[in-house]
Amino acid sequence: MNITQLLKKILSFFFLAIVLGATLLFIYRRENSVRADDSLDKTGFHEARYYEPLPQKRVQCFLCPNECTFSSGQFGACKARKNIDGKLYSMVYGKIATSHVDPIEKKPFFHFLPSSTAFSIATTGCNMHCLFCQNWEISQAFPEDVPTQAATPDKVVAQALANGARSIAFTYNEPVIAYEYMLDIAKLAKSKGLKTVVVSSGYIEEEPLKELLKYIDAYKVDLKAFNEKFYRKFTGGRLASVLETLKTIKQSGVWLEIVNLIVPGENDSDDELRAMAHWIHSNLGDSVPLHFSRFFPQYKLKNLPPTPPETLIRARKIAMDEGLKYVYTGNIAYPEGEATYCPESKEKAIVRQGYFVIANHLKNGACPDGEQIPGVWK
Amino acid sequence: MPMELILQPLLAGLSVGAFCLTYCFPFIGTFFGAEERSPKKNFLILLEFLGGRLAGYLCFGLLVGYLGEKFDPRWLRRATDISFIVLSLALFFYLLGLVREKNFCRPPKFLKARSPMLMGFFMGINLCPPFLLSVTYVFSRHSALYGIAYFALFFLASSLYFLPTVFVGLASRAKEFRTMARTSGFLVATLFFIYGIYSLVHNRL
Repeated sequence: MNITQLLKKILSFFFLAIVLGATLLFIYRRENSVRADDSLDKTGFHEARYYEPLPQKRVQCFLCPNECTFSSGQFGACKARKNIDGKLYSMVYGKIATSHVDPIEKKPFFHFLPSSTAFSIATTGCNMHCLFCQNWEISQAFPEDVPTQAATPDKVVAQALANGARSIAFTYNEPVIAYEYMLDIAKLAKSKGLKTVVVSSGYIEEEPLKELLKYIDAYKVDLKAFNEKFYRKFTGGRLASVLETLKTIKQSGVWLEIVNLIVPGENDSDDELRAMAHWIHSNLGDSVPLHFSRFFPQYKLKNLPPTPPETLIRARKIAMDEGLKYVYTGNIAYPEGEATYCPESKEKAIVRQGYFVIANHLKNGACPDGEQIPGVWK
Repeated sequence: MPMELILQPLLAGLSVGAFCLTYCFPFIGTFFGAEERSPKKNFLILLEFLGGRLAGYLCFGLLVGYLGEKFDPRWLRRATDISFIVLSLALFFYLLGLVREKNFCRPPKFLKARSPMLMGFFMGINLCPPFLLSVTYVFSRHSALYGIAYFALFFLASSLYFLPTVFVGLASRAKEFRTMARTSGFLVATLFFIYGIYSLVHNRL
């Protein structure tokens, strides 16, 4: 066989490979698309859960404590669920507004797979309307207001695995409003060996929360203040509901961490901080990590100054005096407030700088002296 | 018509044209490779294929634009299943015509002569992801006229990617290549036929 004939044969087989490859790719992509479509109904949207139909094609949603009642054609307060002809639909299912691979410390989770990365995704909308929201561009938007990327749960999980992430984080905006999407992704992620974490305001009804918790490994709740007045004035939510959520998460055994954003002059009094720490200690135990985070003026609270670092240091001291073992400070350069300490020996167990772990002396969650620190370590 | 309404389909066509080609290549590539023709003849065949594709696009543009949100996108699934079967039969009969030109069992001349247009039409109404994206967008406009205009412009932009396929015809001068192109054509037709039947039977509407 001469060179020309060989080249002809190679070219012929190359052509065959391309044609068959394109055929199989076509069939594979279409099957994926068909599977994704199977979760939609004739409107092309995914029907929501936790709602009840009312007369005259009205519906009432029972996903979060807002319990919105709305007529056909209306969106809920979250801007993510819509009544179409008497049925409630999730308008954000499969529509990702943003995705990033973040260090887990950024969420922040300090007792959950330190140094690992989380494939972090968000849709649009939120069931609160915090005046200091740092992600207001997506959290206060309707789905069609911002560019979104179509992604089936399969695709999200595949992307997380391809990026080497240990977990998928539902974050940036309030993930609860994309409940059905989050649940489907979480179920699939668990079956593929990925962990799942939720970064939330904790504004959700008990029944959907309990169902969700079966597929979640860690839950971070923004406890925005410890007074109802603040919640009403700045967030549109209710403190009592969030406290119930915290108790439910703790009872479920899912790993829980709490963040409190301290807004100067609004939720930073000694009494309030002490009452919050006392409640956490009494209802959730002394081992729930509490992060005090620094406020920066943004969105509709540009008139306030940033939180003085001393306020966060003071808050940390108050919480520790109340008996909480793991209290951190965030958004300030304060090494002491970024490190995890072994409670008995007071030795540094994990040293952090910003979102990064500088040193980790724990072995499967145990300090060098054998003392165990609660968390999810592997 | 505002500039945005013209740019939107043109940009969509340009951005997803390569995907369109990937989906059409098993058919159009086989067609060019299976017979030795002059480049001019191949170019005419490409135009015929694209003409069929344009007709498919316009038909759906009209339907989708007219029906708007009343149109159940899942109906397209059944139409696509049927189009797979028809497409594979068209390719199969075309190839059979090449190998059995003088024998009995010869397919009708019309089918062989018009295969590129027929395949273009059925590829045009296929439920490929780029097409779906366009359908979703056109839904929101509620206008049959805009539907037609959108798909015509989308077609123009995405067709640019098809022009290089004419060069596949150059390789068909070699007998080995023609044989392989025909073999791959039969395989493609068989795969799509089986898949079309499977998908239709397991109709998950």
